[in-house]
Amino acid sequence: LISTFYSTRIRLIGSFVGVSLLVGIVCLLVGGQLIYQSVLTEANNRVRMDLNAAREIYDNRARSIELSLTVAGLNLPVASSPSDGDQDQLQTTLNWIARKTSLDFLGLISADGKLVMKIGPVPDGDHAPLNPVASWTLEKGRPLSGTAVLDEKMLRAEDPKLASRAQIKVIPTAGASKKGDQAESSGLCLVAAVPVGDAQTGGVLYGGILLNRDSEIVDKVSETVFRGETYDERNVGTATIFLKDLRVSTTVTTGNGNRAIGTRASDEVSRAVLDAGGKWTDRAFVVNAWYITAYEPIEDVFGRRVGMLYVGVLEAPYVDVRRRAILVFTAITLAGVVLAALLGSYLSDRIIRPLRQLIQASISLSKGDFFPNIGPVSPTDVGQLQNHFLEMAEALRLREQAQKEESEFRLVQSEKQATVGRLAAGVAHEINNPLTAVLTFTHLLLRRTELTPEVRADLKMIAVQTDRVRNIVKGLLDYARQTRIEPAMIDLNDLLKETAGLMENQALVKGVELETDLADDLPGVVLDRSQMQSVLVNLVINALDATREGDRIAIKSCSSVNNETGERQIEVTVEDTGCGIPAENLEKLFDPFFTTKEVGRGTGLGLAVSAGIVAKHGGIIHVHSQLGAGSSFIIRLPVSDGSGRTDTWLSV
Amino acid sequence: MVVSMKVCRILIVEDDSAVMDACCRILQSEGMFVRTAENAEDALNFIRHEQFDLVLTDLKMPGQDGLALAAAIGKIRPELPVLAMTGYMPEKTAEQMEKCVAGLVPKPFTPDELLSAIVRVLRETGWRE
Repeated sequence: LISTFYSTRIRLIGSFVGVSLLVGIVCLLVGGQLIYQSVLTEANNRVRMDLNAAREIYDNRARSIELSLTVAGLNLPVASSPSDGDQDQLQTTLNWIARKTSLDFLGLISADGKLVMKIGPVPDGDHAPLNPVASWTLEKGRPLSGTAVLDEKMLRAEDPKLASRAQIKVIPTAGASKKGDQAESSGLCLVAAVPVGDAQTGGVLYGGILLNRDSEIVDKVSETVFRGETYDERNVGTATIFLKDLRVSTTVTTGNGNRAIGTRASDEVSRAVLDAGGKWTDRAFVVNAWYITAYEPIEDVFGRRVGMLYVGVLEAPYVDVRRRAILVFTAITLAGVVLAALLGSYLSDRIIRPLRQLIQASISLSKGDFFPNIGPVSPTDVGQLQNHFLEMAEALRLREQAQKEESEFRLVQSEKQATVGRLAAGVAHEINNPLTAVLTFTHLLLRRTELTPEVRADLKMIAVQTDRVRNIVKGLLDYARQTRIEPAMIDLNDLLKETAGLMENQALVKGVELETDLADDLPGVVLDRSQMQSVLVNLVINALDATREGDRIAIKSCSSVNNETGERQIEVTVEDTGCGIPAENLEKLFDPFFTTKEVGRGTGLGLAVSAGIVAKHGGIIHVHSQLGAGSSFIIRLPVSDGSGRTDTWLSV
Repeated sequence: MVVSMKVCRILIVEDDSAVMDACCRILQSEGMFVRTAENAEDALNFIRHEQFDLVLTDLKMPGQDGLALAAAIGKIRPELPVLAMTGYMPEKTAEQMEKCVAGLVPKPFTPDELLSAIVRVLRETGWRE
């Protein structure tokens, strides 16, 4: 029983914990995801803005080259075949400009397309290919700047060093595209060309930088946009310039700290940006870590998509935000679970404790403790149960007490009967012999005819008084005798009516009303008709003795349920409105020789014998009396199951 | 009550002399022939050697009691009726008594009660005057 309550308690606590765990996990999943989504959105926005900033830096560089060329061109001595002195001065000027504006290549072309002067080594032949931007400006007469891809031949014409710098071997990495060439020899350049001089003597000044293996722009992006932030010893922000899908200039580093030049973008990015020409923003695996990235295409001066500009921020800080959020939520959930367990434990304890006390109390009660400790009465509905339990315990106590009193009463009665019975048997036997002699000789004397009336009267008195003694002894013997009852199934109401009929005359003479009130639905009873009748007659005679003219005697019958055994029983009541019995006499009422009648009117054995007869039938006589108001004698008889009680003896 | 049984012979067996005297006086006052014995042994001796019409015996006696006496009489003189008298009789005795005793007079009795019991027993056993 106790274990059931333990499990109830555990179930209660389990419910608490389960609910808090459920809520916690939902919060964890939903909250963690929401937070991650919002930081991711924020990160995406940031990276898009960063990309715009990077694009600005990139475009600014192109414009700055054009601007410096424009300014330089204004003061440049231009001639299709300059003199030696001019040539020296021109060379000096170009070198100065190139150095000041960090140009990788710079050259002056005459209006007929011939190279007038350039920095760096002079190419072997005159037929060096003209870079496309310079050609366009020469043709159109307008300045142009922007991105251009120069092939190896053009680069070599400018400077063999540039051509070799542009050479990039493709390094395979996880997630990168596997297709395409295994090496790149073209160079991605920022090129500007401006017309200089007049139409006859003028030409085109062009210059540019090679972005392959150049870190100027990407470093500037890194410095200005990301301000050199690091996370876990990695740069938070990275920037890369792609030639097609190949990294040619980047701040992304490989595992060994080198710049990840020569690695390729993923197919997905290439398709979205290079092929479709759109921007691409998402998390992506860059070389060796996850980044939140943004890519956009780089178009050359003629509008062809020749490369990509990329910025990315490490995803790790944002993932960590999510991880931290999850950790916090987990901690909250665990705290909630612990709290729920404690609360559940406390509450269930409060609920279960009175119940367990009730269980203990009911065990005590069953062992006969009628004042079991059930603890304080709870103000909750458990309190109702506790109150009902207390009521039940009290009812049981009263019942137990009544049963005890009744069985004590029975015990005392039977002990009295046994003692008196033994005594009576012995006394009767001894007294009867002398009585026989007294009676005989008294009667023999009375037969004589010569007696004086006085003597005759005296002898009669002896005879009458001896007869009294005889009756007393006979009553004693009736009380004591182990008389077997001869039970038979009878109609008790019939017996009661008959008894009332027998006593009717005496009642009539006395002016007492004798009435019967009999229940119709009495079950059949098995009893010794004549003995039970003597009991009833005795009770009615007692009632008649206790009543005066105008009083009432009622003989009643009904069926009821025995408090002790719960079995059906029959109650026969003889009640009167007579003088009643003083309380101090009630106890002695069934004692042999107890009588309140005047000397010679009763032996004091009637009720004792009656109680014995009723006891032999398995029944009991109770008496209720109120002085001056009357008495009622109640005979309770068990309803027979039909087997009878032929072997019932009065134990003497 | 006057019963004519002048030639009636009765053996009284009783250890209590008061009762014995009372019985003798009652029966003799009716003119009966009375023999007395104080115990069962004496009684059986009389019965073996004399003719009786009825034996009146106490039930509770020292030595052989009234019942045993009645049983013994039943063996040697089955035709001889036995009338028992007693002041107190347990139920069990009553059962055994039915077999060998013709009647019972509860003590104490008046002379008339004893005589009518004797007459009843004698009539039942077919005694003729």
